[in-house]
Amino acid sequence: MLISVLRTCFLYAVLLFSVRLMGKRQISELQTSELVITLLMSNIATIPMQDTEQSMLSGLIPIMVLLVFEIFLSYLMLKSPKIRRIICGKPIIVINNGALDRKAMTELRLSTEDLFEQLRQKDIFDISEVAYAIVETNGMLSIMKKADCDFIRIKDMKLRKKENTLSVTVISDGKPAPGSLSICGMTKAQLDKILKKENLRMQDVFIMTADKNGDYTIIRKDRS
Amino acid sequence: MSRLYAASAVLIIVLAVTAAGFFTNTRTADEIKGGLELAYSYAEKDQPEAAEECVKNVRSLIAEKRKTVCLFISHNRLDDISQEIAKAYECIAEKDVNGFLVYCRSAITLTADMQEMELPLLYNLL
Repeated sequence: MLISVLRTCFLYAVLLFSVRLMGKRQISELQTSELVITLLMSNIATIPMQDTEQSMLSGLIPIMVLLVFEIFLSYLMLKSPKIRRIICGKPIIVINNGALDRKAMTELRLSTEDLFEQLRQKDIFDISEVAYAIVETNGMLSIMKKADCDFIRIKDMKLRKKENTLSVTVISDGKPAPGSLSICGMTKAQLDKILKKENLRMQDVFIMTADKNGDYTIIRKDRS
Repeated sequence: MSRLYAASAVLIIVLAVTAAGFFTNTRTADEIKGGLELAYSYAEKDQPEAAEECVKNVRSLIAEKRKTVCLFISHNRLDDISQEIAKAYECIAEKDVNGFLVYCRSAITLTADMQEMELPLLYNLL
């Protein structure tokens, strides 16, 4: 039993390392190859965890080989669109200029119900609002609304707005967040000045965020 | 690019471990098989003492190599071989040469299987 616990800890660390090395991607955005690799890895890892008669290398080696495959394949896909197309396929337009492409839907085995469900998930309840709908290689649906149904943007109204800047956490749970001051262009002296102005000590701050415009938000710690 | 380097490093480690496993398994199986075949031939020539000595050497060899071999192959494989050798040893200690020959042959076959299962042959792959 102890061996199982130790092996599980070790394989957990190996899987975390492998997923980290494969790169960041949301589960819902997995490409075909990544989905296959993730499923395989999780299944392979369980065998030496449960069966202590098996050598752990018999689980570890296939995981490492899959990891290497995934990284090399993603590199090849980055360099060669042809390989990417073979492995991942290509995006398919299912609504083209407001018209449903039945042939594309048949090719994708996408029923109208499935399409409507995905449109509703994008807050579109009337198909006549859609100019283009594309099924991406990861199976997600991308939508472009017709011009008269789309949101009005600042530039459409010819207005000018102060540029958005990234707001970063500079204090988290009473402690300074490392490296964040330089991102929002603030110095330690400026931070101290703000805290002094707010009559606060750093340990009294639960969260403080700041941006390059000099705007900041402070959430104090509860004193209950 | 650093991911590619990391993947290359992992690949080199994997290849090194695989090669180490292959050679360890092959060499150990060769040594066990050699010892058992020698014991078998002694038993056939009606020299039970020499056969017993050979089997004793094989048992100590397995005990010595066990930790290394079990890193690469299933423990059950080696356990099965050890069991057959233990039975063969019991037989030869009691001067039951026929019984010894049966168990010794069985152990040789299992050892050959252990060696063959790591070979990149079609019937192992499929």
